[in-house]
Amino acid sequence: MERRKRREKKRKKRGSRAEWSGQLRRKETSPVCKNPPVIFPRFPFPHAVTPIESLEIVGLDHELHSVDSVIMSTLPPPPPPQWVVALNSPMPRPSKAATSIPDPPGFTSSNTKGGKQRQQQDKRPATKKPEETDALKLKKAWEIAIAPSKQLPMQAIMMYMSGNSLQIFSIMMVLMLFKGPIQGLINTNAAFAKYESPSTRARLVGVKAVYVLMQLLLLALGVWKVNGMGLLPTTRSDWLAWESERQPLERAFFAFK
Amino acid sequence: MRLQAAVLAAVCATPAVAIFTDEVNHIDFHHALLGAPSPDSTFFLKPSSASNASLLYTLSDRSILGAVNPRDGSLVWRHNISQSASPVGGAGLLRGLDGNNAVVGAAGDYISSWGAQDGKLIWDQQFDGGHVSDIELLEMEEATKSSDSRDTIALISGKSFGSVRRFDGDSGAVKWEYIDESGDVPFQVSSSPTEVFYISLQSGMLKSSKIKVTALDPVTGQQTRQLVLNSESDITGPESVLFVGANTASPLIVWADKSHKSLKINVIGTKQISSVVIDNTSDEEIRQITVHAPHKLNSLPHFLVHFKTGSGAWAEVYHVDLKSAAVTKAYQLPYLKGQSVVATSNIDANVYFTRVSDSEATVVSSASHGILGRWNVDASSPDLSQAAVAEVVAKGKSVAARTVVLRESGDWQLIRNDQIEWTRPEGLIEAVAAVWAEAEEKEDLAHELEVEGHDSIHGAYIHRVKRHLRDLQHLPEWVKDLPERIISSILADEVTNLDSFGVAKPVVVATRTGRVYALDTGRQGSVLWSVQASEKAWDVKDISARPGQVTIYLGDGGYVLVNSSTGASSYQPPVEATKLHSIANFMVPDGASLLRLGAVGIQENGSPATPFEDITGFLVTTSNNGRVLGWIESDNKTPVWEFVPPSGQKVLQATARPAHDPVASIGKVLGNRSVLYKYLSPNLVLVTAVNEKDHVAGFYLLDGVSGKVLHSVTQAGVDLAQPITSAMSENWFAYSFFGDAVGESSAKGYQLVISELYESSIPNDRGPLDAAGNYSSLHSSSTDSLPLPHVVSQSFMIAEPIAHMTVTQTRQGITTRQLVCTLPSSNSIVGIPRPVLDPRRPVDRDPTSSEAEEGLFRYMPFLDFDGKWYLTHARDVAGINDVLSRPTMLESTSLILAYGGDVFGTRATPSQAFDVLGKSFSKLQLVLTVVALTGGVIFLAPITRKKQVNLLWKAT
Repeated sequence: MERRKRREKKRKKRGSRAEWSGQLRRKETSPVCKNPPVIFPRFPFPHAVTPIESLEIVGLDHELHSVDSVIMSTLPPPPPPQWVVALNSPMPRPSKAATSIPDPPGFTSSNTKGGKQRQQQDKRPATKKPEETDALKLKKAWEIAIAPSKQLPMQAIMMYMSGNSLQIFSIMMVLMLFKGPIQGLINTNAAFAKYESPSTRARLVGVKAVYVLMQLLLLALGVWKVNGMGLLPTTRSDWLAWESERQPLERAFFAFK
Repeated sequence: MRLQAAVLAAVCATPAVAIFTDEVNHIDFHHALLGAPSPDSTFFLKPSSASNASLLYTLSDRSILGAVNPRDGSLVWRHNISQSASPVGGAGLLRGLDGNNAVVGAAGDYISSWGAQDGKLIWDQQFDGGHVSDIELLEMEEATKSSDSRDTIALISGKSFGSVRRFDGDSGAVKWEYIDESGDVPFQVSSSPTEVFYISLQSGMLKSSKIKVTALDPVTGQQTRQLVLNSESDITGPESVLFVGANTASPLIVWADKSHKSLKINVIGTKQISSVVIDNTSDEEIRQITVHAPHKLNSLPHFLVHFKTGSGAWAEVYHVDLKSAAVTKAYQLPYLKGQSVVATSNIDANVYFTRVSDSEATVVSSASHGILGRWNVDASSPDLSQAAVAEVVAKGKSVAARTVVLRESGDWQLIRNDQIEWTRPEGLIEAVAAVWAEAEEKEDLAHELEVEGHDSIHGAYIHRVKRHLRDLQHLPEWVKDLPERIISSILADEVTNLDSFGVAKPVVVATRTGRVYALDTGRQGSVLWSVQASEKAWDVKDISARPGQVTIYLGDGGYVLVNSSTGASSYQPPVEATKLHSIANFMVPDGASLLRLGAVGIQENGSPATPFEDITGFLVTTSNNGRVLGWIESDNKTPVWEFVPPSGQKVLQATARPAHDPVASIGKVLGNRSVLYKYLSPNLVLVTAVNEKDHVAGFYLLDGVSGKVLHSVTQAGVDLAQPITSAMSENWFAYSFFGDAVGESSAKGYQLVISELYESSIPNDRGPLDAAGNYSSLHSSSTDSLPLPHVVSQSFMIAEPIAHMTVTQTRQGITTRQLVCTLPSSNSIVGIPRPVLDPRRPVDRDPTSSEAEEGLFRYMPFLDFDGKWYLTHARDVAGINDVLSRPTMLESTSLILAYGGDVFGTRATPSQAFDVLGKSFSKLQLVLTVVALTGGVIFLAPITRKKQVNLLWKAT
C-alpha cells in the first residue's frame, strides 16, 4: 500500500521533472542554434519526445535548416544521421483534434516562441485565465486533501486483519501507519505549496484543515490499533511499577529457630 | 505489559531448566558422608577374587555402612543399617574377608550381609530382645562348599543369655545355635582353623571378672570344652580386655594389669597366660595400649602392641610360638614424639606394620625390624589421629603403602607413600548450623563509597580522585594478569568467571561436636579450614556472619567468634548463664543486603533474656510450652500478646518471611491487564499447631505486631508422625502434611497446600487502606489499621513426604521463586517452580484465553515432581535437616546449601540463567568473527573506492 503510494508520488515527481526538463531543453535549444557544431551530440533524441515537445521542435524547423547548411559548407558532406533526416522531413500535420488539446495545467507558455502555441493562447480570453487556474488549483488541492481518507477503509481492514499480536509485521505496519500521517502533517504546507498563490491562499485554509483532519483520522486509526495491541498505558497494570509497597509503621522480629 | 506477559508465559512454559550434565560438579558439590568410621570396622578389602583392586569398607558411628574408592575417596555405595525402630546400643560391627563376596554388618539387633562390590543386600536378620555383640566370618574351608561366600558367626547378647549362631553365607539361615544361660556377660566370638570360641566374662567377687572361653564345634555348634582364665585381679569389665584376636592362626586375648606395668597374653584354647613386662622408657604414664594383629587365617602369628603416652608413642612386636603357645618379644619400634598410629596388613602369610607419625610413614615386616619403606609425609594436624588401616603392596624388594588415618573428628585421610591423596571430612555429618561468610575486602570499598556519599561534592570528588590514584598501584599487576585473564576467559570451561558475582562464597558450618568447617562452594565444596572450636559437644542455637567474622551463638548464652578466613576462634562466656531456647537476630533489609542490628537470647519460656532497648520493634518468640509470644523492646517480663492455639493444640513450628525477601511487583497482573494487589507485610507469622489426640493440625496466619489472627485453616486426620513443614515468602505460604481421608471430600496422602494473600478479591482494588502509604497494626480505625487478607488456596497431592521447605532468594526478587523441598524418602531435593503452585489455576476446566495469557493452566490434583525440578539430579543426598538459600549478585542465581547429614550445595536458577552467558557462547568465535569482518573491510575498502572512482570516469 505504502509502496504504491510512494510509487505514485515518484510518478508525479517524474512527471514534473519531465515538464521541467522540457523547459530547460527549450532554453537550451536556442543557444544550440547559435553554436551548432559543438552542442549537437547532446541534442535529445527525437524518438523519446512527447507530443508537446514535438510541437516545439516543429516550431524550430527553419532554424535547424540553417544549421544544416552550415555543417554542409564546412565539412565534406557525410551521410546525414537518421535523426537528422527525420528532423528535416516535416512532420505530418497534427490533426484538428490534436491541435485543440489545451495546455496541461501549470504549463506556462509565455516564453515559448512557437507560433501555433501563441495562436492557441491568443485564442483563449486573457481575462478568464487566472480564475480558471485558481479553480483548477483548488480542485487539485481538494483532491490532495481528500486523498488520505481514501486510504482509511483499506488501512482499517488491513489493521483489523493483521491481528493484535506483537509480531514484526504488525509492528511494522503500525509504524508505517503512524509515519504516513505524521509526515503528511509536517509537510502540510509543502503539499499545498504548488497551489498557493495570493488569490488562493484564503480558500486553501479550509482545504488544509480538511487535509489535517484526514491525516488525524489516519492517526486515530493508528492509535486504535496500538490500543488494540495493548501498547497504550491505559490500564492499572501499566502504572503498577510506579505504585509503592505499603510500609508498616511497626516492625516485628522473629526468633523461631 | 503485554510484553511482560509474553515473557512470563515463556517463563511458565519452561518453568525450570534442568541441570545440564556438564554443570554437574561445576555448579554443585556434594559431600556424601558416612560419619566417623569406627577403627575396628574399617578395612581394605578386595571385593572380588578376580580383581586385585581393593575398596575401603567402613561402618560409621551413625551405622552407615559404606564402601569408598581408595583412589579418590569417592563413595561407591552406602547403606544406613540402623533400623529406625530400635536405638543402636554402641558402635556397629563390620566384618569382611578377602575373596569373600560379602561384607557383614551389624548394628543393634540387626545383622545384614551386603554384596561387597555393588552393595546389594544378600540377607538380613533381626532379633527380638537382644543385640549383636560380635560377629566373625568363618574363614575355614569346607569341602562341601564351593562358593566364595563364607558363613557368619554372630554373638547375640540378651538380658540374661548369650547366644552364638552360625548363619549361612548365602541365605542367612541359622545353621546352629549355642545358648549360654549361665548369666555370664557375652563378650566376643573368635575362631581358629578348627574351633569356634565363645568368650564371656564370668563375674566374680568385687566387680572383677574371669574370662571364660568355651570352644564350640564349628559344624554342629556343640560345646567341646570350656576353660576359665585366672584374670580376676586385672579385669573389671569388657573394656579392660585390650584385644581378642580374631581368625588368626593363634587367636589371642590380651589384657594389661591396672597399673600398665605388664601385659597378659593368652592364646585362646590354652590355659597358659604369658606375662610380658612393659618396658616404659619414657617418663610419662601410658595412656593407651592397642594391639594390632593380622586377621587372616594363614598369616604369621605375630602381633604388635602400641603404647601411647601423653606426648609420644612406641610399639613392640611379639611372636607367638604355635606349638608351645609361648610369646616372645621380637623387636621394638622406637619412641617417637607426637602422634603415631599403626596399622596391620597382610601379603599372603607375611605381616606388615605401617606406622604413621607426624612427619613420616614407615613400613616394617613383622619378622624383622628392618624398615622396608620410609616416606616423609606431613601428617601432623591439630586433629588427633586415632587409628589407621593400611594396605601394603610389595614390588620386588620395595613396598608401597596406602594408609588411611582416622582422626578424632571423624575425618579420614588417605596417605599413599608420601602423598596425602584425599581427605573425607566426615565430621560434617554432624552439621547443625551453617552460614555464608561475608568477605572483608568488599566492606572497605563500601566504606569508601559511604564516605564519598556523605561528603560535599567537591570533597567527594577529591576523595574519589585520590582513591583512583591509590588504585593505580595495582595497575602493573592488572596489566600483567591481563593476557592470562583473556586467554583463560576464552579457554576456560566456564564462559564467565562468576566468582566475583558472589556465587563462590565460602560457607561456615558448625557441627554438633564442636568443630567448625569452612567450605569453598566455588571449588566443589573443598574444606578451606576446620577447627575444633569447642572441646566438647556444644549446643549451637544460631549462627550469623558479619564481614570477616562468624558468630556462633550457644545455648548457654555465650557465643564463639570465628574468623571466617583463618578459622581462629574465641569463646565469649555469657554474662550470666541461662539456658536459651533460641536466638533473636535483628536483621533489617538494607538495599540488597541485610543490616544486622544485634541479637538477644530467648529463654525456654519464650521471654527475651534481656530487654532489647536499642532496637525499635516487636519481637515474636515461641515458648517450649507451645505458645507464640509477642514482646516490646522495653519489657522482657510480660509479653504484649500471647497466642494460645485453640482446643488443646500446641505450637509445633512458626515461620516468618525471610529477612531478605524483596518484592519486585506489588501486584499480580491478570490477563485483562487489571491488577490483583498482593497482601505484603513483613510482620506475618505462620504458626503450625497440632493436637496430638485428635490428629488435628491448625495453620494460623498472625500479625507479628498485634498478634491478631489474619487467617486460619484446620486440617483433620493429620498423621503427626509424618513431617509437617511450612514455608513463607512474598505474599504466599505453603505447608505440607500427611492427611488421612476423614470426610468424603478429603483425600488420603501427602498434601502440599499453597495459599496466596491478596489485598482484595476485586482486581484494581487495594482494599480498605486504598492508596495509603503506611499502616499500623496497632490502630483500630478502619483507615489505617491492618485489614484481613483475601486468601486463595489450592492443595496438591504429592507422592512423598516433604521434610523441610525453603524458598529461593534472589537479589531483587524479580526471578520467579522456587519452593525448595527436601524429600527424605528419595534422598533428594526438589525445587518446585512457583508458577506450577499457583492457587489460581482453573479447576475442572481449561483456562480461558486471558488466564492462559497469565500463565495459568488447568489444575491437576496430583502434583508429579518433574525430573527437571530436582536440584540434586542423580545424587543421593541423605539426611538433610536444613536447606539455606542466599542471593548472589546475579539476579538469576540463588545459592542453595543443604546440610544435616550430607552436605550439598548448588546454584538454583529458577528463571534460567538469563544474565549469564551460557557455555554454548563462544568468545573465541565472536572475536574471530569481529577480526575477520574488520580484515574484510580493510581489504575491500580500497578496492571499492577504486571501483567507484573508475565508474565515475567511465560514465563521462
